[in-house]
Amino acid sequence: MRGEISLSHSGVIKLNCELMKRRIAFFSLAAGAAAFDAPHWAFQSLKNQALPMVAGVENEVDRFFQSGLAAQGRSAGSAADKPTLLRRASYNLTGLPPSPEDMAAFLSDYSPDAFPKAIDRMLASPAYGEKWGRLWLDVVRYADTAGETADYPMPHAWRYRNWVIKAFNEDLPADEFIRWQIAGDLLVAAGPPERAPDKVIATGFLGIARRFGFNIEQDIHLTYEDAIDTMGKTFLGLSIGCARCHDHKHDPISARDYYGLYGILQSTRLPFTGCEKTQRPRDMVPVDLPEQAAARSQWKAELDGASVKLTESAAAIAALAPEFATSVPNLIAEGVLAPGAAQSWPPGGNTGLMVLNAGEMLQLSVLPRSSFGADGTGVEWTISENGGGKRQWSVAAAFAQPAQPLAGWYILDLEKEPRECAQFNVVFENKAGLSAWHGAELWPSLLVNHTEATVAYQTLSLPPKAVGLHPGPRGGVAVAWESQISGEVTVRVKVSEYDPGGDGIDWKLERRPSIRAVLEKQRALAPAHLAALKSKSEIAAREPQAALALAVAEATPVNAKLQIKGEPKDPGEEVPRKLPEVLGGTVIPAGAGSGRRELADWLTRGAARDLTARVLANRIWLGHFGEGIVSTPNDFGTKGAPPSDPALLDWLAGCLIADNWSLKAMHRRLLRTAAWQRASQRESGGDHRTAFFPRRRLTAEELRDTLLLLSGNLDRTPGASHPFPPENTWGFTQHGPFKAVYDHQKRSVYLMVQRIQRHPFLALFDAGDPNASTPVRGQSTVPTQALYFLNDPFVHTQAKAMAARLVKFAPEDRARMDLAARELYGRAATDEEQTVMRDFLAAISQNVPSLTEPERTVELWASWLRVLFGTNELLYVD
Amino acid sequence: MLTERRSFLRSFSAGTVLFPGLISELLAGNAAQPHFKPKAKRVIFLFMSGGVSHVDTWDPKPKLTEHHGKEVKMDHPEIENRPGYERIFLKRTGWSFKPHGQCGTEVSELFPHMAQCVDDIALIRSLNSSHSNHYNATLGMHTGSFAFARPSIGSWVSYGLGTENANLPSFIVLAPKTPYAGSQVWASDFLPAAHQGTLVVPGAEPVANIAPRTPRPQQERELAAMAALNRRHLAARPGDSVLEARLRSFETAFGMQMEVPDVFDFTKESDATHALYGLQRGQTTGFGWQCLAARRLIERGVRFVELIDTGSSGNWDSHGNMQDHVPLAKNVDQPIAGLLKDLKSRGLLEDTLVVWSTEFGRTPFNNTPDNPGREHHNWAFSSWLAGAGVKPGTVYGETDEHGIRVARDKVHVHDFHATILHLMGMNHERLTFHHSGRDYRLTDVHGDVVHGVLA
Repeated sequence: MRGEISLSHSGVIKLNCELMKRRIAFFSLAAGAAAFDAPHWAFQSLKNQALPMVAGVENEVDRFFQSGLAAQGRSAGSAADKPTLLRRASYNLTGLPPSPEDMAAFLSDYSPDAFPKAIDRMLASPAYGEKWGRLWLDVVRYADTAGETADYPMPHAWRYRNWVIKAFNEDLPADEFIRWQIAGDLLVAAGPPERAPDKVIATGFLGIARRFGFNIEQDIHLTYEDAIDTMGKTFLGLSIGCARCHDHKHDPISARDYYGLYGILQSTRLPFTGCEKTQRPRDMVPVDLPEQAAARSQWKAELDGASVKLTESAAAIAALAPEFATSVPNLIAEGVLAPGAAQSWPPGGNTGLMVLNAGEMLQLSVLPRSSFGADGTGVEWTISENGGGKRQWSVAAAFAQPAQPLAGWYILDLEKEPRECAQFNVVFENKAGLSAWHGAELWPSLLVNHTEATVAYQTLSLPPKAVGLHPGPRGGVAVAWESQISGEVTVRVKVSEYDPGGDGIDWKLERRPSIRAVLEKQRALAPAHLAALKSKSEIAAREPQAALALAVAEATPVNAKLQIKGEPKDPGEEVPRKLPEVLGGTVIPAGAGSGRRELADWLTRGAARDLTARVLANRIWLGHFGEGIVSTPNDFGTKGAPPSDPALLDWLAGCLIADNWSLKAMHRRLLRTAAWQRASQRESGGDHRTAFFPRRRLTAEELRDTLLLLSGNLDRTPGASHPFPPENTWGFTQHGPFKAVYDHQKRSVYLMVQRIQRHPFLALFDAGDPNASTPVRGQSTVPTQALYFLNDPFVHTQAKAMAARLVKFAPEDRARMDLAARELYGRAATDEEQTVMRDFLAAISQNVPSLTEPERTVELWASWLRVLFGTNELLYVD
Repeated sequence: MLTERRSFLRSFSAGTVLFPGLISELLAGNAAQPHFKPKAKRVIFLFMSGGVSHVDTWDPKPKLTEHHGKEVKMDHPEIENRPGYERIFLKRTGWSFKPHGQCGTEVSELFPHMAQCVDDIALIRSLNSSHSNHYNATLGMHTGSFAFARPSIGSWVSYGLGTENANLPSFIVLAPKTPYAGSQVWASDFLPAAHQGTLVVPGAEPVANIAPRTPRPQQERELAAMAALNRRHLAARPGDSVLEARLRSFETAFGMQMEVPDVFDFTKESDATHALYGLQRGQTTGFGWQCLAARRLIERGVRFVELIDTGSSGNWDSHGNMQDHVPLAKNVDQPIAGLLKDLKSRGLLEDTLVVWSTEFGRTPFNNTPDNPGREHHNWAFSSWLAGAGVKPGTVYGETDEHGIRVARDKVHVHDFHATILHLMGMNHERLTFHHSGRDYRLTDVHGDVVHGVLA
């Protein structure tokens, strides 16, 4: 597969390779220019269109339409009736049927603007964005996964999806809508500030580009192709991707044009989605969402409230401080312990005898040196009565149970005045046999290992049956014992450093007058203080995180090198970052950055504006009339279909621009025409000027949403993120790729869409391909769809839920049938339907097992509703 | 007629609403015409997932054994920049090869049953693929595209020829697990959805929603009432063939509920047939089950049946130890041989094409001679064709003395596809679909029919 490279006189690389020369003619620019002497219609500027004069027809679109029909010697069909019209408008604008109430209101409104008002109401509904946003998501091949070998999730893609829906609902001018998707991040500075997050999120159009291979960075040239190809098709109706390997065969797009755009993408940082080679995603862009600002200030208020409470409870405890003044500790012994060392007291020879008074306290403290880390210290301590009952007290016995220590023993935090420590949950850190107490902060001051084995906690290794103290950063911690006797005792102490690291500890043995009374007062205040402490720490832990967007950012500007036959390992000459030659060919000026801003401006304000407007106007037309004026909506090139009425297309594109790119204005313009309001029929001809409205099937989403609406199960709240597994657990491979179906009862536009696994329902009913731009949905009719209606649990569930609703709200079968017909078809039930229903229920009554009422009636009606769900009147829009 | 159908489908693809639903009708009643008289009417495509080692199965290399341990140097995609692979050494096979049949084709002892069928097989020892990654190579073997989603070969054949049985899909995939590249392997992509592969997963409910959820008498009444309402609706909209097609699709679906389970009900198959496929009575899984189901599907007029052995894991990807090929070979060997013998004895092999393939071979070398596994090797591997129009008892193409590169008669995946389409009576350069500004083909801009394997 050796390729010969030669430079033609015009400086464009010509390729000649054994395998391809038979089938691909490579155009030099000169040859290409000759072939395109007169610019192809799509590359010409919009022309001012004279409106055709048609007697008795006022509506401008209708004048084009009618004159077109007249030229074909045909006349328009009759107008649709009102119920048909409202149902059609409702599905076309919101993807849902009209409610019986809306239908009734519309039918009883005889004013001339009844229909325009109905259109306005639908355009104002959030459902409008959910319907038209989905159409846009088809065009931009939206998906929630990356599509490389293991199909890594893109957990932040949904923000782009929701922004698209919002942009439609807010009627964001379409030129801005397009500009933001290419260069929103670069338009933030232009303000206003509240638009900034949306502008960044909008670049998710580039962020959702398909990723390829085991190592997506190695195959990034394919991702660039996907992005360039999708941009070309989406905005310009041009297949620019073909020019990756060679100059376009038919359209005036050269390989230089392709690599001019390629450089723009190379100068842009795409978010890294994760892949087999490198599993963790990165380079997501944080955005400061307004709703987050609210959440953050609410969180801050909560935290401040908790801080106040904590200060109050601490103050109450601190108020007891003077009461400790009467108990000054007297030193008995002290020492310094090196890391890992141990010391015993009394040292050899000394007996450790002392005489105590009842109520007097001994206190063994462990104090931090310059660092408090790794200061875990084991304490062994016995006090033996020399006379009388020969009783003995020890730390080991005091903490033998995982409960509070035996009476007379205290654990004291010595940061300020002594403060009694509180126990954590009896089982600390889910380690059986480990109990712990804490002081002013929530870290362990005293740990007890009740087991016969060594227990590890952080850097600390606690021997069997050991009691360990750990000082805090600002003060020591002590175990204290109150003498119950007056008399002589023998005291033995051993302290051992359990942490090998750190800088050692200081320890002290002291005696002091009893502080029991003040500790008891303190104890009464402790629960409130502890609650305040826990509350503050819980609130602090749920600090709202910045929202992340699957958005792009500027990278170092670079020019691409031509890739011979599209092979990055075979680079040719460098091409400046530039816009396609056929519409100006502007070179991105030095110092301008990636060139995305120039690209966005060129599409919407520059030389490509008229084509962009034509392509978009055609998409809106297509969405309402079933076929575009250009029937190949992603291909306005020479191989695409020519416009069936070029004047109408130009006129509409001109209106779009004149209406400040308002899509809602375009919907109004089209839906108010007599052409759109005609009765439906299926007609052959391959021309948009059909005399009738073309009947259409519900889309996958419309079907699912309708069934959920009918059952009463539709959750109208917008969807948000998907429950993907946490990023730190991702280890997907091509052997075990990511694969999931996340179900919910929200509108279908919010379903998780995967690239290498189709969603079974969406695939069955021709939903958009998440791998490539889908300009028009298929409307297949296959038996497996009928099987879905017959046997899928979803259909059965919705039928039963709707049956339960009908049985509850309508007293008898006739009224139920009437309500069902209004909800399903937007009209009253016919007598014939009532008869078929009555006969059906009677006939199947023997098939339905004897249940108690109302369950039995619900079963019968579920069966009947499955019949209605299978009707063409439900599935098709007239 | 072919032209009419093409233009009809083209208008569909271009987004018109003219008769889109008719596709099922067209498939059902009036199968399209091929470009020239076909040798094969249907295909059974046996796909071994993970990469079957050619030098251990179909491609004997005595010099590889002789030169075992010898260091070799090459610029191979699987060793490039791979730590531990700075040096590579030839690695011999652990299995012996023997000539079989009249033709004397050598096959290793891993496939003793298939070895008995070599007189019916055209073995290609010179296959070559464009990618050494499972995902890309699997996608390429199925769609001709090694990166982008494109229609599967089964979808192309269905699109080109339609089906002969309205009650069954024209393209059926029997796979116990999801393969590499997921459902893209059987997707119709931009071809009409009627041509997408229908997945059958061996087990209790092989086809989604095929088991009636309602007792039959009740379902019949539901369908009768639905048909009555739909007929009334249609009467007010005369001439709408799409509405009529949908009405009829329910009848078809009702029929499928019976027909599909019947396909997978082997009770009337003899003990001898069960034994031929190495199948226990009542067994509903395993490759033997897939093979017998395939025969029953093509008997019923299904155009393209693909059997995937395992999926994206637990497959032929024996990096760790080539001995892992032993149970995998045992699992498919007898069923495939059984299928060939069964088709032959029933006369079905005369108009059925059987294809055996994998996404790539395995390296005849490794980073140490003692490394028990082998890596991915897309430079050369083996596949075979058998049945209608195929020159039986042939070996086509040759690798070099170590099985590393194709030495003679290279067959790229595109050529392999062109040959399959040719056997089905279709010119791969003329089986096109206009989409997004250009005519697409299964073979992209490549592909030459391999005449050396044609009878």
